[in-house]
Amino acid sequence: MPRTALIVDDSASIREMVAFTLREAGFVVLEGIHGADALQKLGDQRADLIITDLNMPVMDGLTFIRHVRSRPNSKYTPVLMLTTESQLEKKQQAKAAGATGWIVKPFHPAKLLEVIAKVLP
Amino acid sequence: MRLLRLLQAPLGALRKVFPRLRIRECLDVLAVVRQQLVETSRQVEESVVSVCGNFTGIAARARETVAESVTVLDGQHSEGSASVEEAIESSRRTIASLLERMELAGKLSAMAVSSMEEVSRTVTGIEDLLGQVARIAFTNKLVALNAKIEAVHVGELGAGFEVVADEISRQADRSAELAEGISSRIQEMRGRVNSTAEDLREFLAEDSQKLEESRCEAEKSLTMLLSLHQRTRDLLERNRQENARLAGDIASAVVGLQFQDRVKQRVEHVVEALQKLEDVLAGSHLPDPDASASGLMAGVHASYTMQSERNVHHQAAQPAASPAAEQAEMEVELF
Repeated sequence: MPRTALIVDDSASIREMVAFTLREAGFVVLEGIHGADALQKLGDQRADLIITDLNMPVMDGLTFIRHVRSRPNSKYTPVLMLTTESQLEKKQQAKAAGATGWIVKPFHPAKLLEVIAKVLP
Repeated sequence: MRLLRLLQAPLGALRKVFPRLRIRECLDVLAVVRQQLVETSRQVEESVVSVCGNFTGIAARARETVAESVTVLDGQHSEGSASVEEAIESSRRTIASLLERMELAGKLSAMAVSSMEEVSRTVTGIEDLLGQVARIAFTNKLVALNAKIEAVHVGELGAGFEVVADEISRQADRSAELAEGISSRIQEMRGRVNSTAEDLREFLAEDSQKLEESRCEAEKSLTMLLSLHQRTRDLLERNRQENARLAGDIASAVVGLQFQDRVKQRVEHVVEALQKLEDVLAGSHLPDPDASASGLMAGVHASYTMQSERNVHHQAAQPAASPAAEQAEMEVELF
């Protein structure tokens, strides 16, 4: 059964590129344009992997991760933050919010898949 | 950059330098420039999304083409179907079996010819025997004739003996006729047997040669088919490698295209700064402490997310500072 990945980013091009990479690797991909949209799209489903941006309108990545971690079925879901943000402080905030990893854009598809393979159970 | 430097001058001085009318004009220009930036960023994003969509199509088609070819060559396109190698091997076995049967038929024909020669020899023996029968019949005829002559000499007393002599003569004639009839049919049969044997011998001589030719021809065709199949397989393998290279090229393009996301964010930050500047120039934020030049600069700096943005900012603010290197590698940290 294919695994489900949720991509959350306000940039349509980044969503498209990450979705392309994951679909090529056999994932079923869900997309959200910001945190609130992603939570709505996810509904009661459980994603096997979440990749989210940090700076987004309506609901940012940190708030989104906190919501995800508060859901019983997503407590241990790997959540990777894919961002252009380079500040250490933001990285620490993401870690505290429950992010599994921190990736600074631009990402390389093969390397992204390597990281995903490491965090997936 | 000029705008940033302008922000460093006290706003009061700015107002003195630019009359109210000029500021109004600048605000209009700023609004247009900001809108141009937003629109340009949107259009670039649309193009990049479209290119990514094309990549998806290209990659999917390339993968499907290779998968389909592999399926056909491996014989998995329908249940019970054989691969090309299996089909060729099956044809080779069928042809070999046919050739074996033809060879067997040839051997049986040779045996038939041998039997016919035996029949011919037997027939010759029968003809000799029939010759003896004919000679016996002739002798009997002579005996019967002499007996009849003797019966005539005896006169009336020999009348019965004469009847017996006539009967023996008739039987001798009948035996001779039968022997001749049998001989004639046997000759006819021998003629047919010899003719058939001759035909079979000719056929066998010709067949043996043709059988060898067919064997060579079939082997040649199968070898050619196998070679053709191997070439197709090699071509497919090259296609597969090309497809892998294509995937690599697409991956590189995906990395390259992410410049758009970085540019978009930088443009958004510039647009945000322009908006603030417009507000300040329009006087709507004058009471705000951020309206001071340093406050505005701090606000602009706070909106940055990328180190490269901060580098440019510092360079513009302090031109003497050396620029920091742009991040090239994907930075990953797992918590």
